[in-house]
Amino acid sequence: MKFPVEQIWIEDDAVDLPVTRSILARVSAEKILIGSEIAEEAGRIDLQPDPLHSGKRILKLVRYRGAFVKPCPGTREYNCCGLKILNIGQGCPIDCRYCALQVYFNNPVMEVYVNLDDMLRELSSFLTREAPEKFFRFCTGEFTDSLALEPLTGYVGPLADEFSGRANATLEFKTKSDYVEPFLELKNPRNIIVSFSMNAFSFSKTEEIRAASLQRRLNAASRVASQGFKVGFHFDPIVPFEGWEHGYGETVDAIFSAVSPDSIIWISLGVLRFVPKLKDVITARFGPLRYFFDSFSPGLDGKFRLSPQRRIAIYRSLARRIRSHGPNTLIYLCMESQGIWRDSLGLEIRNNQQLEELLDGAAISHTGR
Amino acid sequence: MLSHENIKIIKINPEQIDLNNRDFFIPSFESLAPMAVSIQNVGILNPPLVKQTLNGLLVPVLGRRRIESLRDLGGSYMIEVKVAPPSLSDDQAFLVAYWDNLDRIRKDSGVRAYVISRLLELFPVQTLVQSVFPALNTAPIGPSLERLKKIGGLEYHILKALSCGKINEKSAVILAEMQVNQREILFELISQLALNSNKAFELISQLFDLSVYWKESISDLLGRPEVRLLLDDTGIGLTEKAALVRDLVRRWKFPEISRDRKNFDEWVKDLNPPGNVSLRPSQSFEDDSVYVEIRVRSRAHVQELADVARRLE
Repeated sequence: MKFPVEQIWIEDDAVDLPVTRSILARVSAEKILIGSEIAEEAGRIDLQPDPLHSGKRILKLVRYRGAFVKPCPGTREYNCCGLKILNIGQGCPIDCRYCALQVYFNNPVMEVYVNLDDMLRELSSFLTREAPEKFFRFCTGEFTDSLALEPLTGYVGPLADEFSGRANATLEFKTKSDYVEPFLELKNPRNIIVSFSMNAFSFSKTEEIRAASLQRRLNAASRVASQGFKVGFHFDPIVPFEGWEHGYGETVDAIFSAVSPDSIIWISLGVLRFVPKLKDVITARFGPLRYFFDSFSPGLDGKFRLSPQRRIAIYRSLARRIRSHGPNTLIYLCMESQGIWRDSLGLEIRNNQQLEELLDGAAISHTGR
Repeated sequence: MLSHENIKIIKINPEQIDLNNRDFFIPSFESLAPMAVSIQNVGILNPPLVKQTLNGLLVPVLGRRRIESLRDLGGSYMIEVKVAPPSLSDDQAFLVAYWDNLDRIRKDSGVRAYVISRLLELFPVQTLVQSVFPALNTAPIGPSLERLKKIGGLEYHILKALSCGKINEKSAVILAEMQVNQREILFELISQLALNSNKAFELISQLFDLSVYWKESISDLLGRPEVRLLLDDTGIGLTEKAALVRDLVRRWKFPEISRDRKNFDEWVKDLNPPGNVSLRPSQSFEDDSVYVEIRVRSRAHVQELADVARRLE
């Protein structure tokens, strides 16, 4: 997939880094800005009615000074799976209309953290110093798409090397792209999970601007699965549009046509939820999107959610369909409470620890431990 | 350039000034009465500034309220006005009005929205951010300016409601998203029910949500028989009527929560807890938990309650 990169901004202290040089060799942008030029252009972008529209065409190369390893920004009020984020950048060239990241960052431009050596050093030190019995599921796809910018960054190889052979960690790449070529060159598929965000075909087509089509994602999943990689699928957000049951059922069927149940490490489900401000931003950017005007009310964490009854009905429907193809496929819910787990999947998940154990179990078996 | 040397002072009848012209208009939603009293007592001490248009009309730049007050007072007499030089361009004349009314623009959100909207029509945003907006302490970010621009385009009486706190800015944003006739109908309902700004926001946002989600216009929603029945009922007071309308709309917007609420209230009624106990469900009935608030006479009783609570943990 090719995304439009019109400008590259390079922070002064990132100019001489190897990843910067390699990105510049791979991309042809109309403008390359350095130093004070960046602040001036950033000021101009901020004044536009929709800064994100331009921001998604600007790639900023940053020597990141913060923590590369972070806990997933879950919520205390619901069960969270204890995922660790490996922070490779922020923002994304894909422009999903529902995307929560539209209100998450102050900065509309995409950032890639180009001090890869620092990232690998921090990761290695984290995984080495932690107690050997502890297990960590990492993911790079929380603040950005894991693979959308991979053709420029080339991070899959070095990151996979870092995880290869480790008994205490897996790394999940989560994407709406279909760029899986780097995985096909890896020698060891263990410790690596390639995951795809999924939705209903019709919904994805209109709402996931510049993402690979669902069919292309499924083809990509099939390719990596045939190389021995475990694949994951994430239905998040699930949106109960008119005909949702048929729409999502169709996608579930397509997943199991593309990939054997044995290759699927997990499928996660999460009904649309959002911070109140997101609706305002989306309405300003795209006009009123009907599904954001459904009966959302504030949940325990202040995010807007549909009623538990409706969420349960949705989860049950998808779980039933998934289990009809893969009775043993691990399904988990993202940010849901004990009662929702019980009533929709029939599982008693009382706390975060139980959920972590459930997912760690699946991941550990993939490391060969 | 506006300086003392090139300003002409003339004597005219205030009726000669075209108050319908709004080229340099900065709204004011305050009553004119105190100013009229002052003018009656001491006259106009500081002559208004007017600008002559190409077709010879005199339009107010500064002092519109003084002229309006004077006209309200009636009578026929001449007043002194300053005439801006032809070299003062229209956009610069608006800036003169802006700087002169800065305090009011800063304090009043309705006025601020109107003025920002007007400034964005006259000047490039970059110029405004550098030399005009800093005085307003408005964050120079594109989307927030867009929002203010939309609000600034609302009808005068809605801006007035925003200015005097009858609706809040969030309500104004939603109203700005609607077609004119639809927002008029909704605004009229809010005014008719005399809702405060928070309750007005609740009703405006829920009805707008429903109209988008159900693909039904505001007028159709409010024309439904169950709404008409309530609004036309002369036997109930305004406060009760407002509560019933809000309750009905809430049931439309949140059918499951409304059902849960009803069941919960019935359960509490059957439980018949003592008067010092109040019960409430979890937020939006997200889980089965119930918050129990117990009022006790002294701290000594708290230990007993803590023991019970520990057993339930």
